[in-house]
Order: sequence, then C-alpha cells, then structure tokens
Amino acid sequence: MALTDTAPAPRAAPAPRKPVSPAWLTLPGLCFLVFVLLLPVGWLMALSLKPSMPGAFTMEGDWTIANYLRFFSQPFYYSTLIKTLWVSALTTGITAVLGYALALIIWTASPAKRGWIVLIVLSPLLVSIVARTYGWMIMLGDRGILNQALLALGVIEEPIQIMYTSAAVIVGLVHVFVPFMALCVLTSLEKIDPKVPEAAMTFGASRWAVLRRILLPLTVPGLASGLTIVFSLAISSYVTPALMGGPRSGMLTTFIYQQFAVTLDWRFGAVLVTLLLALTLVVLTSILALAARMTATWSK
Amino acid sequence: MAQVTLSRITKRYPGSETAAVDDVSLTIPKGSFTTLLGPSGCGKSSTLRIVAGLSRPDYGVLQMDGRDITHLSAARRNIGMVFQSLALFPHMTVAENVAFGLEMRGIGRSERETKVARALDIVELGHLAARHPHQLSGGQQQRVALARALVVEPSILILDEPFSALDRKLRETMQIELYRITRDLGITAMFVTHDQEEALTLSDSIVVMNQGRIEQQGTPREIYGAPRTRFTAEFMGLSNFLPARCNNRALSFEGLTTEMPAAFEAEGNCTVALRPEGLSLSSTRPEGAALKGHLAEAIYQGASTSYTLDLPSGRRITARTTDCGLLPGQEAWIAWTPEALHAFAA
Repeated sequence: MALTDTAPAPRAAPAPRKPVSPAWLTLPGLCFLVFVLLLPVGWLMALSLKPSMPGAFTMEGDWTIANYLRFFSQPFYYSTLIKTLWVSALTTGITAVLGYALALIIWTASPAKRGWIVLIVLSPLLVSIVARTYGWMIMLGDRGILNQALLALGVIEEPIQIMYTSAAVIVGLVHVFVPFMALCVLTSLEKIDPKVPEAAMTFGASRWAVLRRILLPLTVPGLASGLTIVFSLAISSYVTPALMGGPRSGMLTTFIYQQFAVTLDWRFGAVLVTLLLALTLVVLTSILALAARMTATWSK
Repeated sequence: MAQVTLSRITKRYPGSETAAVDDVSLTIPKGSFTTLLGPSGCGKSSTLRIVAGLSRPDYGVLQMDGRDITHLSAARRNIGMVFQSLALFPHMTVAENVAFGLEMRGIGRSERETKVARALDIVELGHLAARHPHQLSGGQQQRVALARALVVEPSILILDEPFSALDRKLRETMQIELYRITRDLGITAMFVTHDQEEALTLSDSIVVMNQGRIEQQGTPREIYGAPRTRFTAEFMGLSNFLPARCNNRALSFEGLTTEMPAAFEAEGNCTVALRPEGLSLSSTRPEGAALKGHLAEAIYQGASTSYTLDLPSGRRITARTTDCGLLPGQEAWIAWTPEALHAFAA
C-alpha cells in the first residue's frame, strides 16, 4: 500500500472489510481443469509441432510445422476433416429437426403423458453405447431386419448396404443425440407464456406461422445450446463411427485412434487432435455468437 | 363490427363432473360492450375462449352476423384479443407486435405502417414504437396489447381480465381509457372480469355467470339495482340477507309486514336483502317500515360509519350511513329507502 501521499485514515472508523469476491469459489474447479485438461491438451498441441516419428512420446526434436503441411498436402488426410465436418453437421441438423419436433410434442402434451414421453425419449441413454450400436447393426446389416423387410415387400431386389456407411453412423448418432436436443429446446419452450402462441393464432397466424415467427425465434437460446452440445458430441464420437462406420469410417476420431494405438505416431496424432479441437471451437463459437446476436435485442 | 350470438353453448372438460359452460345462450349486439362477470371458475373464461376459437364447445352454435363460426379456427375469426398475461411477443418491437395481425392478413408494408402508427396514436404510444416489451412499464404494455388488438379492426374485441395485474390507480386510468376508445370507435367488445366495479364502469350489458350458467343479464343499472338472485345480489355487494315469506304481495320478515317491491313476484318462502348503503338509523321510531335493533358496533370510516346491529331474532344487520351519533349499547330503529330493499325467491 502506498503510504506517502495518502492522508491517515481516521482511527475511529476502520475501513469496512472488502467483501471476498465469489469468483474465488471457482478456484478448486479451475485448478482441477488446468491440471487434467489444459496442461495435457497443451502438451499434446506442443507435441504436434515436433517431427513425426512413430514410437516417440517425448518432446525431443526441433520445432516444425511439417506435420501440418503433411496433413493439408495429402487428400487422404484432409478429406477426413471434411468428411468429419460433413457427417457431424448432417447429424446435428437431423437431430435438430427431430429434437425440436419432439420438444414441441412434449411441450403440448398433458402433464400426465409428459412424464412417459420424457422417459421414452431418454431411453437411448439408459442403454450401453455398445449394446445400442450392436442393436443398430442387427437392424441395418445386409441381412438385417430393415433389408429383409424391404426385400420381402419387394421394394428392393437385393440388400442395400447401410452398415459401414456414413448413413449408418448418422442413424446411430442421431438416435442418442435427440434427447439432448429435445431437452435443450424444451427448456426454452417452457419459458414461453403459452398464451403467446395462442395470441398469435387469434391474430390470424397459421400453425406454421406460429412456429416460424413466434416459437423458433423465442427458442434460439435452447436451440443454440442443443446445437453446440450435439455438434461437439457428434464430432468427438468414437464408438459409433468405429463400429457402424467400419474400420474406414473416415472420421477423424477413428483416425486419431489409429495414430495413437496402432501406428504409435503420437506426434502426427497430436496434429489431428489439435485440428479437431480447433474445428469444434470455431463451429461452437460461431453458433453461440450467432444466437447471441439474434436474441440481443430482447433477451434480458 | 359484428353481432355475436351464442346458442346453447356447452363445454365439459375431460375428467370433470360438471360442465364448465352449461347451456349458455347470449347475444352480443353490434357495437355493444358486454361483460361476463363472475367468480373464478364460473365459466366466464371458458366461454370467452370458445368465442375466441381457442377452445371448441361440445354442443351449441356460435354465430357472427348470422354466419355459423362454431368450427372456424381462431385465426380466421377476425378477432382482436387482449390476454390476462398480455402475451406480447417478447422478441418483437412495439411496432412489430402491433403489425403482426396485419402481416398475417397479408396487408402490404406501407398500409401496415400507416395503420400501426394510427393505432399507436390512439393509445398514445407512438414515441415508443421501436422499444421492446420488456423495456415498457405495465401500463404501457397494456396499451400495446390493446393497440395490437384494435389495429386489425376486429369484428369483436375480446378482453380476458386485462387489468388484473395492474395496481388500483393504473387500473382505473386504463378502464377510463378503454371506455373512451371502445365508445369512440363503436367497437363490439366482450370483456371478462371478476371485479363488479370494473364491470359496472365499462359495460353496456353485464352477464353474471355462476357454475357455468348465466345467472342474470342486463344493463349495469338492472344488475346492480334489481338483482334477481341471491348470487347476483351478493356479487353486487348486497348483504343483510333475511329469511322472509311472500303472501299476496305482502312481504313478512323479522316480525314486520310490508309491501313487496314492485319488480318482484313470488309466493311462499323468499329472501330479503337490505343494501347497507340505503339504511338509516334513528333513536326514535320513524314513519313507515322499520326494524328495531340493538347497536353492537359503530366503526367510523370517514365518509360513512359502519354500524352493526343485533335484531331480536339474533340476526345481524350492517348499515353504512353518515354518522348519526348513536353509540354501541343503545337501541336503534333501522329504516330504508325503497331501492335498498330487494327480495328473491328462496
């Protein structure tokens, strides 16, 4: 404290104790995150700037961006990035439509039915991811239930390949993610005065106009959190693409697994991790910034 | 503007024993301000929702200018509605809120802007057109809701307890404003409230509802001055109910026999009510019909004094009158003006 140019404080009234900022309460959690998340990820990012060498797990070697150049110069590598982005975006989009519809159904259901619908919606999350994925394989395989049904009905002449394609990956992912989306949107819907859509109808709005002009804009916050959750889950999913997309699913996560566990090229693997992380951050911040801009004028 | 007719409208909610709206027939004439009045759960809001098209009746016919609109969706009825919660669109500005109904009717931008500006002028909110609802006070939000309902030039303006969230002073201001606007524009309006004073202030016609049925319908004067049932009387602030007998146009109660009120016709058991404001007290026996009582309580309330009297039968009577100098413990005679005495069957 500077004592030279301050008048001595009157002794009779001691300065009130400065309240302790509640931000300090985040300290334990912050420490935990720094040690188990930021440090390891930072270390991995640093590792990506060392020359690629299978079996090398330490920091030795010169700093270089050769690994990144290698990734972006070969279509085999960078196409995984594009495909991952595409599959994740499509998964997120389909999940958004289905999840929104589901949220509307729950919102308008009677309280008695509501609990049951939510339970059914959450059911995919109650089953182990492996069991659920194998269930889909039985459904979608070449001799699976879907193909046999289509063959029996004469819709198709011979089995269509669904398993081990992106379509199978998307089906498997959407199935699990719909509850997340539905619950996020539902949270936003529940903040809407039910008289607001009714008012819109009395002023001549069709159901479609109510959805487009009233409900959609008012559920942007829930929709944005649903989109960010589902997108980050989709882009980082591993088991479903690995099992349903096959060994060559072409998704970044399965590729990362190969680098770390099969070829043991951690330094090139670290490039993939960094790119996946960067891509996710860019998409998520874009979604959140867009949502914030759309609701800036009216949300308190 | 249009005339709206309800014929034998009945609505029963699933799981409920009694009907929420029970055989209600009612005409709201063109340009009239009609109020549905009753306690909560009397079926007034259910009736209003049926007229608005937000709920379907199980039975009965709803007509607008003779056209059957029972099965027409709310969107196609050309109504303007003000909700109890106002239900403004929080993500739209005041101007966008007001323009919404016009937009849904496919009215072009320039015409829309003119009409919105005029509607906002009527409610004196032109300077706040660019604000969002959460930036407005309760009274201003109220005016936006009203402008939004008026701008579409509705066949009928429907108001569901719109002032219940406002404080007393603001409520009175808004009532006067609503009265002025609806009469200036000659609007057909249907208003729902549980506040009898509000109903008397605003209405051309009041429909008193009880347990899904119409108890009585009439002008404010008729409803207040000549309630036909004990329910309406109580709702209109009448008290001092005394059992009585009617016999050949003579009315006997509390050992007194007097002439029956002209408007009332019945024989046998009936009930008499004395409006507290129409009573006067004196220490000596007045001319004409009067009851003798023992003054139990006198509470000075400024403009009037509230007296409680015990009758020989043990029943109590309340009188609200100017201070007459009588003190608790004294005997007093209670007399009444002819309008203060009401009688109902049973």
